[in-house]
Amino acid sequence: MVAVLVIIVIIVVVLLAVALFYNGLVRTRNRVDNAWSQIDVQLKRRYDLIPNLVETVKGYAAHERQTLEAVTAARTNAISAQQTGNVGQQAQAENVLSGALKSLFAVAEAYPDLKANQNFLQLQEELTSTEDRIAYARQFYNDSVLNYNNKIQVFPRNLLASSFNFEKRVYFEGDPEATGPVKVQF
Amino acid sequence: MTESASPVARRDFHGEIRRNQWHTLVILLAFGGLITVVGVIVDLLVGLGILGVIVVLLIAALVTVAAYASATAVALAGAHARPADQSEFRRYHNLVEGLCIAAGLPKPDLYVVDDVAPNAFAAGRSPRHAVLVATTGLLDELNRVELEGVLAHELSHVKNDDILAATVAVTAVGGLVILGPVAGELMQFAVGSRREVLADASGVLITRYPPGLCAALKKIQANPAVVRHHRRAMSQLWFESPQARDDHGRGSWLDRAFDTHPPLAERIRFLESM
Repeated sequence: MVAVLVIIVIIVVVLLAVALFYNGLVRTRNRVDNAWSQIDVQLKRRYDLIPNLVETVKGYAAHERQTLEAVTAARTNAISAQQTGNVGQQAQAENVLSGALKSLFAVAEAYPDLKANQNFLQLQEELTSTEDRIAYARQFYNDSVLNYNNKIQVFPRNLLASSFNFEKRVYFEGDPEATGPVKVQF
Repeated sequence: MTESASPVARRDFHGEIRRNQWHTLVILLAFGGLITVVGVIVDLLVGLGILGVIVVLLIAALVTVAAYASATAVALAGAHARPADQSEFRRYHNLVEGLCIAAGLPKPDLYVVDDVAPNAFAAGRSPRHAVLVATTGLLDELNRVELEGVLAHELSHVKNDDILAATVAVTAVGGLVILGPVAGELMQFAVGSRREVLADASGVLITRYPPGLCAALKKIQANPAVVRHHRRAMSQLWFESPQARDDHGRGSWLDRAFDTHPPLAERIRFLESM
């Protein structure tokens, strides 16, 4: 009788532990997914800001056509790269877009009226903070991946993770070329 | 490898959070206890007997709950803070939103204090009910990177869940100020001396850029202005203690008893060693 009770208690405890571990893993994995979608939200925010910026700059520096067109083209490229879902391609297109924006702001330096424009200053603030947010969203994604990968690889969770198909996630890594100077075609 | 060499390396967040919750409870009990003791003495003098004791207990419980519930509002009112307008303080909002993404926190309500002294604090009961306060001096004087360092420090108070103890201390310890140095001891107990250094370190963990916060600390050190509206029981909240500054002028031994901040120079040294 006692033996049966002990066995029942052990089974209940093990089942409870499995349920707890499983729920914990699901929560951590969902956080990784959420962190990834956060990056897309911020990228989209940047795409939405760019047409306004181009319009504003046009009003003051219409003959900087090439720079403006480079930004618009880079934006279109980045959006279509995002839709393909190829992470490497997307990272490259985003880098080109960042570079194009940088040269647009460099060009703006030569136009005092533009630099004093309230709308332009606001857009500059929004774009700078969006760049920050993209970086922070990637950082948070990587932190979440680290936490998740740690969880599914340590004993005894790894036994559970492999039987329920919790797969290792990859980090978002900056394009190795991005550390060098960004080339912008004019 | 000495214990003090790295106060953060061995930190245990869950232990730290449990400690804070436990200390909050002790402060509230001390507060309620004092009211009860005073009430019972009055009751004995007047001679109302057992009925009086019940009334005293009820009042003590009500006042304690009120001290807990109103703590954030009292801190905001005590600092003369007003809500930060979305468009007027765009950069402030943007920086906090970015940092919240990095820290995985909900965005707290933002407030400003019209004051030239650069300072800031975070208050509230939990990450979901948190507020961030910055002086206009801080927002105007610091550049983007420096401001980000300070705001990340304040957000990590929210993340480490140490705003609860420090905020409740505003009303509860504030009500115990008549106890003088004993209340100071209670404040040290509530807040702990590692709070600021821990927030400096975990703030840097959010921005991944120690020189930003370091430059901000140096700028604040060089600025002699002190926030106009502060109370002794609120100094633990501020980024830089208004109490320490008063030492040159009005500062008293009682002020120092309430001061929970390590010197700025020490915090700068710690960041430079990272």
